[in-house]
This record gives sequence, structure tokens and C-alpha cells, in this order.
Amino acid sequence: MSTRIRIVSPGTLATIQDQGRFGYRRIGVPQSGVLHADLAWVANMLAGNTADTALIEFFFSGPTLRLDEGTLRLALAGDFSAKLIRDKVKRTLKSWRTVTLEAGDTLQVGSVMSGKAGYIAISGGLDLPQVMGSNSTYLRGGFGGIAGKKILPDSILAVNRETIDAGPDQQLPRSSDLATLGLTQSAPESDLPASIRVIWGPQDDYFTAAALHDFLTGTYKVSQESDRMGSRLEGPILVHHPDKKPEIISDGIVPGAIQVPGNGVPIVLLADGPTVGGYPKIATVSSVDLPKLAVMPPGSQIRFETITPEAAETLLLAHRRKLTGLLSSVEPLALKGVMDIKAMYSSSLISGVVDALNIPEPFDSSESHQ
Amino acid sequence: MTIENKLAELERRNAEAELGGGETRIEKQHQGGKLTARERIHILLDDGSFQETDKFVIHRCTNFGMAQQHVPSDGVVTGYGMIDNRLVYVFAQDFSVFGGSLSKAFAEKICKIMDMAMKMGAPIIGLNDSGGARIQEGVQALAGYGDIFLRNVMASGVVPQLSAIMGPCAGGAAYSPAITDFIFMVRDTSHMFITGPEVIKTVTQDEVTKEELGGAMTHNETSGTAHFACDDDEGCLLLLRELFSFIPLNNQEDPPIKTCGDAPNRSEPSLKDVVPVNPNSPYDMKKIITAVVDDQYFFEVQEHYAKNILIGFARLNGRPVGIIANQPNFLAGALDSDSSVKGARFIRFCDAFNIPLVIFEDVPGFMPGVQQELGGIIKHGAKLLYAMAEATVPKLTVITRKAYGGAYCVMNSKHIRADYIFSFPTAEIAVMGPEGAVSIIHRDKMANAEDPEATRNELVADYRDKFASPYNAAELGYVDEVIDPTETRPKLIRALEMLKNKRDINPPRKHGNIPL
Repeated sequence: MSTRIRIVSPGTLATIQDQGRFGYRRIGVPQSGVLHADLAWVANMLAGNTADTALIEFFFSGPTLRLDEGTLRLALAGDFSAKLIRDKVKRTLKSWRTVTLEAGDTLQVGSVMSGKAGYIAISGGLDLPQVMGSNSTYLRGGFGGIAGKKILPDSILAVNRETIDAGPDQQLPRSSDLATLGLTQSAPESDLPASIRVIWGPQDDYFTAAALHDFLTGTYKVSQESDRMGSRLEGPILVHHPDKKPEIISDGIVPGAIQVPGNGVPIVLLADGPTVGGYPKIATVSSVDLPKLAVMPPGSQIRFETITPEAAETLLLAHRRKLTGLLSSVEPLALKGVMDIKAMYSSSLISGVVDALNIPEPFDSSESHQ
Repeated sequence: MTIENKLAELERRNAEAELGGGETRIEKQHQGGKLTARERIHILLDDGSFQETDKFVIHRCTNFGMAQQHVPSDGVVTGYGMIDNRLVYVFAQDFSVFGGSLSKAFAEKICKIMDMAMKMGAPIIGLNDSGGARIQEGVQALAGYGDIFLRNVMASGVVPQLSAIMGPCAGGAAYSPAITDFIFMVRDTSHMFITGPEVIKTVTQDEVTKEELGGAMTHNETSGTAHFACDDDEGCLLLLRELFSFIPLNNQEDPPIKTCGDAPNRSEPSLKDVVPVNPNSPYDMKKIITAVVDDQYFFEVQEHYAKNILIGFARLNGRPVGIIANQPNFLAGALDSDSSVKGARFIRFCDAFNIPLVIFEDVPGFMPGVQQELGGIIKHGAKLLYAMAEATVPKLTVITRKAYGGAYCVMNSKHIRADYIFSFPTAEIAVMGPEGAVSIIHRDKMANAEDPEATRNELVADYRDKFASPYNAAELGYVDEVIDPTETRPKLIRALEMLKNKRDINPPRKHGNIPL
């Protein structure tokens, strides 16, 4: 009897994804796969999985999962918290850690606080059939994942193996600089637009010099019309060069390509994007910045900055080295409820004290002394 | 200076004190769904009865910039007033002044009314809404808490002490309400804990919210620290008034008798069928309680905690009683550690304040379980036994169904000084249930029988006839009367009337040693 996990409610747009479906773009099958490969990588790494293990991707609000029998370790990556309900007692957990569920446990994953995507890796992976060598769900094509559909309420997912005696749960150290690694981001209403590095082309010669200038100096906003296929941007209209048509002979498209149709409104194509397209592509988002852009919630502001392909490669390699560095920093989570004796001697154990001249708000959850 | 000037000065000072921490902070208090200290007192007490003491007290601290910061009354409103025309002393912590933080002067104000309450023999109600100790006061704040704690202990069992938690109540400060007799909490706005989420995170890595750690439902459902969970400030204060109507002003008085519109002789036909024919079926003991008491009004205490025992107040012919009842609807009504402690503390309150006890009994035994044994069910169960045996108020028992094993002794049996025991004809008073007994005493007979199942049924029926009834106990005088369930109300009222002048004493001693 294999372990099963019940998805009591799936949250928003939860699907099964892995790194993507490669080798079929020539017959029109999009790459699919996780929008934020780095987050997915962190989740799989914490869960002790290989990088290509399929996992749950969700947007904005997370699923509620329940384990009926056995033991199962999950890993949470993304900027969200979750509530673990065990024996009727509710505990709040932060992400960037594993959670080992016991029979009867319920995990309510909360809302994503920055970015829009969150990932839940299942230690050992899910027992699902692959389609064209991948478990990624391609919703528009209706294949991959769980019968090509998003995860439905009361779905039951079979797990490859139960988690047996995996030792203490693991976490990324609190001190990890997740923002620098692009794993968390500033709020959409933040005044400073995020900088996204791109490489010109391949069809930048289809635009006027003014359009190229506007593209680099203007601020763009991620619009409501953003999904796994692409993100439409709101900002300066990009005028096509009068000598050229706003169409090209259709050619291949990769995730990250910034396509500009006749209306001059740029679209960044993402994992589920088409394999070919007939509009000129003004620039292509560097691989190092694409995950960050892909999960920006509507309203997020960005500015483009061009770099050379060589620089993009160098940046990506450096980024991957740093990300790999995270692997060595993973530490066992101090066991919940187990006394840190050192802290008993060295930390303040006193609550219920107030600085009379600096009164905390009665409902401020951050008040530190109460 | 003319008298007019002097009166104007008094008025100015009064107005200043009554404004507490100022309009902005009062507005914040309201925005948070909370009333101010003075608004709370206004709802709690009879109209216009509140007399404020120490309105112009200010703190005496000069440390860390406090010398220039003074608000008359210093963050706590104290005084006396009336509830239903009966005297009560009140303090209400004022979060709008220095976060309700406690200074030495603040504590002295509370101590002053506590001392008066003890001298005059009137209850103390504390409305708590304080961030805690005022750091600037240093060890003087701790001295203040200590002074209050001591008075809480000295007043325990002398005058009733009621606490409402209507905001934060953190750290050592929580021990003052903890010693008082009843704790009311307001949902969402009140929190009570010794060490808060931040300290806990440092020491045990547990991440927990204030609500999870010390919210109203946490203490009403899980920890059993609080007795009532109220939806808002007003509901909480009205509930305090309600409880007040059941209790005497001090330990020398009897509880107040209310005119009763419910006929004392009322028989209750519905009681005929409440106890199911099948002895293994659950039923709701509350149905029996409400059918018997005046106006069907059972004021339940700790309704969310250890639901296998019911405790609360009611009246019988206008006379307040404390009710303790097994609840067959939860865990078959078995006694476990939590329900034993819940029952024991309530019994001791009633005994201290001359409130007669009425026990409704249907108990299959103590709860089996490794966790129960390791968790100390022996010492916790002993608390219930101790409290029940120690009580000298009138003690009545109604056995509705099972009274088995040690739990039979504990639930106010004749042997531990029950004054009068009624039994329904449906009662099964025995050392154990028929099935269990037969499988032990007739083990050999059944093993050698041709048809073990038939033999077993026969033996069980035989045992049931002999022991699974109230008559064996009644023959021995362990039950005073076997009654028609429909007559429970008149029977209890007459017995209570008969016991009105009961005097019983425990041997003189410094104090007993209840197994804590």
C-alpha cells in the first residue's frame, strides 16, 4: 500500500510540474514546466529529491493537504506560511523548510506574500505517468500532470514511497539572502521597479530607434493578463520600424522572448508559450532573470536593461553557483518543542513588559515583548 | 482663589483624569473593537453606582524619561459600585495610558480596593487590559505584582474574585487572574500567556501566534485556564453580572435567593425517557439538568473544556446550587485528568462560598489510557475525590445510570459524606458492569460450556438482575431513595430545604494537603 496524500482544496491554479518537456518543440509541444525553476529546485533539494522530480506549483494561495496514513515529508519553497494541524492543535510554519506529516495531519498552505508562485515538493516524488518524458501539466493541451488538468479538490495523489525515518526536518537558514537570489521579491506597489536584464533581438531591427529607447527607459507594469503562457506588459507602446512590417515569417520562440504584436504592447512568453510566432521579438529575457519576471504578480513594475549574451551566461553561471551554495547551508530544523538549553541561559525569558513611552499597538502582531 | 475657582480646578482635574490616555488612544481602543476602562465599568455596574477612588494618583518614577510623563489615575481605574444593588469592588486597567502598564502606584491602587473588599466582605472584579510591567519602574513593578498576588491568595475563599481578560495579559501578570475564581475572555481581543511567541521561538523554535498560544478559545478549550469565552466586551461584562447573581458576597453569607416563578413541585414527564433503555447508548445529561432546575436555566461554566463533565450554576426554588454532572455524550462520561481537575476546582469554589452541590451521576469509570496514566490520572482523579469528600456544603446526588468502580466512590457517594442520594430505577450501581464482571468471575464456566455464547448471555442476564440496578445499594442504605425520574425536581428541592441548616465541620488544621 503506497502512501497517498489528499488535496483537500487545491488553492489557486495548482498543477503538477517538473523542469519541462524537452525535445518536442519541433512538433509544436511547448516546453511547460515550472515557472520559477529556482524555487522548484530549492523545494526538491530540501525534500531530498533530484532536480527533475515533479512537484506542485500554485499561484497566490496554496492548497490544503491531508495525510490519512503513513508518514510523508514535504518541502515548501516560496514566500508563504502554512498551518500544520496536528491533534487539533494548529501551528504556524514559515516556508523554506521541510514538514514531515504524520497520519491525520493537515497542512493548510497560506497565501504567497511576494511573487505569486509557491512550490511544494513531495519527498520521493509522485507516482504519475509521464507524457513525452515529462510530468509537467500543459493545461491548454490537456496532457501531462494529472490527466492534463489542474489539481481538483479532493484529489488523491499517490506517492512513490513513504518517508521513513528521515531524521529532523531541514530548513534554509534564516539568514539566507533569498531576495538577492531572486527567490523573494519586493511588493508590487514598491516604488522601485525591478530591473530585468535582456539581450537585444533577435528582431530588434524591426523597431524604431525611439521604440528601442522607450523600451529601455520606460517603466512597464505586469498586467492582469498574465498566466503560464506569458505576461502582457503595460507601458510605453513600441512602434515598429516603418520600413518593416509588424510581422515576420514565423520562427521559433523560446521562453523569455519578448514579442511585440502590431499594437506595440510587449508580451514576455513563458513556459507554456507557443513554439513559433509571427511577431518580431524586440529582446529576450536573460535566463538568470526570467524566473523572477515569470512569477511577478500583476501590478509589479519593471525596467529593462540590456546586456550581452556573454554577460548573461556569466551571470547565470554565477547565480547557479550561489544557488548551489544554498545546498551546503541547509541545516536541520531545531526540533520543535525541544528546549534550546543555551537559549535558556542566554536569552530573555520575560514577556509582559512594556516601555511606557513606546506603546505597541494592541493588535500589532510584531510587538516583541508580549 | 474663590470657591468657584477651586471647583473649576477640581472639574478640570476630573476631566483630565477621565480622558485617560487621550482621544487618539481612545479612538485606537475603539478601532480595535475594545471599550475603554471607564466604558467597561459603566456597563458592568448598576447605573450611576460607580465611585472612583484614587483618581489623581500618579506614578513616582523618574527613570528613563518618566519624570515628565504623568497621567492622573496612572493607567488603572479603581473603585466600588453595585451589581443588582450588591456591593462590589472593581479595577479596570486602562490600555490608553502607558499601554496599561503596571507601576508601583498602579499596583497600590489595586491593593487598596482589594484590602477594602476583604474588610467589607465584597467581591473583587478585575478587568485586565495591560501590556505588563512598566520597564521604567524596574523591580518596583515586580513588587507591585507581588503585592497583588499576595492579596489574591489571601482573598481566595474569603470573597469571590472574578477576572475578565479584555486585552493583553502577559508574563507574570497572568498569575493574578489565574488565582482568581473565574476567568472570562473576549474572543480575538484578549490574550493570556506567561511567555509570548517571540520568547518561545527563541527557546523552543516553535512558531505560534498570540491567538494560538493564548487566545480566548485556547484557554477555554485546550488549557482550561479560562471559564468563559465572550464575543465582545459588552457580552463579557453582562455575563460577569450574570455569574454575580449566583454567588454570595463573601464566605460568611449564603448565596442570594431569587424569587422563583417555576413551581417547586413541578414533575417533568420528559424525564421518563431521557435515559436510554440500552445501557450502552449515549445521551445528553444537560437535558436532565435543564428539565429539573428553575426555568430550565443552567449557567454552564467551562462548556468548551473537558466536556465529559458538566459544571455550572442553576437555581432550585430560587436557591443557587452548583451542579457537577457526568456527560455520557462525551467519552461515555468517564472521568479523565482534565475533567477531574475541572470538577474539583468548581466544587471547592462552591464549598468555599456556601453553594450547595447537586451531582448528576452516570459514570462508567475512570478513563483508560497510557497517556492518562503517565499524565497522572491517579493524582488528578484524587483531586476530585479530595474536593468532593472535603466539601461540607449540602451535597446531593442523583444517580441516573452507571455508578461503577472507584468513580462511584468519587462522585459524591454516601461514603464520602453525601447528604442524600437519589437513584433513578435505571441506575446500575455496582463494582463493575455485567459483561466485565461475568467474564472474570465465570471464566471457567464459560470456557467449559457447550455453547459459550448462550452461557455467557445467561450469566450476564443473571448478574444484571442481581447487581445492575439501584436495589443492591438501596438495601445497604447507600442510596437514600429510589425515585421516579419525573419527580426529580420536587425531590431535590425538598432535600435542599431539609439541608438548609446543615452544619458539618472538618477537623481543625492549618490546611489539608490536596494532591496538586
